[in-house]
Amino acid sequence: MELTDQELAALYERYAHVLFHRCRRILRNDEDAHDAVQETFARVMRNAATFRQQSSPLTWMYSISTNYCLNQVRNRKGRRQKREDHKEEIGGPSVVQPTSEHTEDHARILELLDTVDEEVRAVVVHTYFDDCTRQETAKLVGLSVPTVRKRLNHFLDLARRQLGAAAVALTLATLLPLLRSLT
Amino acid sequence: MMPTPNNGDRPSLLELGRLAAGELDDAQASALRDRLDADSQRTLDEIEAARGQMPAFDASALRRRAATVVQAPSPTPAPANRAWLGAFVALAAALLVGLAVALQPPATVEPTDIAFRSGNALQVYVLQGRSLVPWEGQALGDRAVVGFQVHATGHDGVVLLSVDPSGAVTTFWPAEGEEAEPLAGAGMVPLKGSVTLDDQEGREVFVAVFDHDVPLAEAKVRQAHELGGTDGLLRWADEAAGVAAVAVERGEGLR
Repeated sequence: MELTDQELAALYERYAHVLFHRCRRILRNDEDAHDAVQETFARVMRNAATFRQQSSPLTWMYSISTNYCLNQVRNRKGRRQKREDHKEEIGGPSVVQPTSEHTEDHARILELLDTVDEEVRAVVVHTYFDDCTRQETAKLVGLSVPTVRKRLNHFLDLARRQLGAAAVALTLATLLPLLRSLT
Repeated sequence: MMPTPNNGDRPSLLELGRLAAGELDDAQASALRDRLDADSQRTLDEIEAARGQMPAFDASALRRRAATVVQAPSPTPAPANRAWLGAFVALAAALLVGLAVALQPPATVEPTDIAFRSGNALQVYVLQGRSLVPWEGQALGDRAVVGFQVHATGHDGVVLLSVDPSGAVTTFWPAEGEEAEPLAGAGMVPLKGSVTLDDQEGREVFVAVFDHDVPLAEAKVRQAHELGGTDGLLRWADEAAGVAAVAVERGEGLR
């Protein structure tokens, strides 16, 4: 059964700012975070029947907004990297490139996330960006705690390989502060 | 900054969010408040402060956005005792199509025609030397630079996107923001700027969606690709008003 405008308004009042805060931690951009909130609510509307069955609507919203946020990051990267200017031919303003070290670090971590499968991405996002315990993460993604641990180790191995010499001694304890500093 | 993994010694962002949203019952909320440290309290304050940044609730905008992606209708299986009828109809249709094809004159489509599908509303140019020249349908390789012209007559703005073979949607115009790239003038007008292609392989489709904002254009394009892949996307672009698309073969080719 469809959500009424009143129900939607109540959900928006209750959850929109919570979701916005969380999406902004991942996207680090207000405009994109607002977009992610709107899309999450649109998906809630499309899946009203499933949504009504959730004991924790926020948990469900977190799950469905994760991939959208990460896809936004990928699209944004594409826009920044692929779009160029050739003023001598067609003119146009310069596209602003990210310059701060944190932005680059953040981008590298998110780039890594782009290379792993959906399950690993979800595990990493919930563990690091949402600061969930492994038990919470396991519940969110529908895996066992040992499997969550395995997926995290897979991601850390990948990070060690991809980030190269700078991350030779990378461990969970050293990666975490880096990720935290990005949010 | 929280230097160690969360082993349950502090509330997670999810727990804090549930507290802020009033999802916890009194006992749970009270227990959680007892565990709040300074970092957690700061996070809670940030969440509350975010309330002031939220745009006003707009039910109709949300409904429009929700309506842009529709589920493909689930196929209704034919009753078993009518299976022969379905087979007969399919056979008859195939015979008719075969007859129609046999009566057509020989195809004269040149490879270059592909560049000007969709009624010339979207044209692709490639950088050769220091000039952008019309693309003639050749494969485009890594680092090839392309520009675009769109048909501006009757349109206020355009969103130009690409869809790679995996379905990833990238918006190139506008460079940022949600408003479409404004169009002025009439006839074919160039979009300012260019795109340097990456090392993608397969068919990449460039799509111009006129008079829609970015989220809506992206949602429509994504929906068309989800429902029918690259071919479905091209069919949709051919049939829908205010949409044009060009498929570019990527891989070894012009750089």
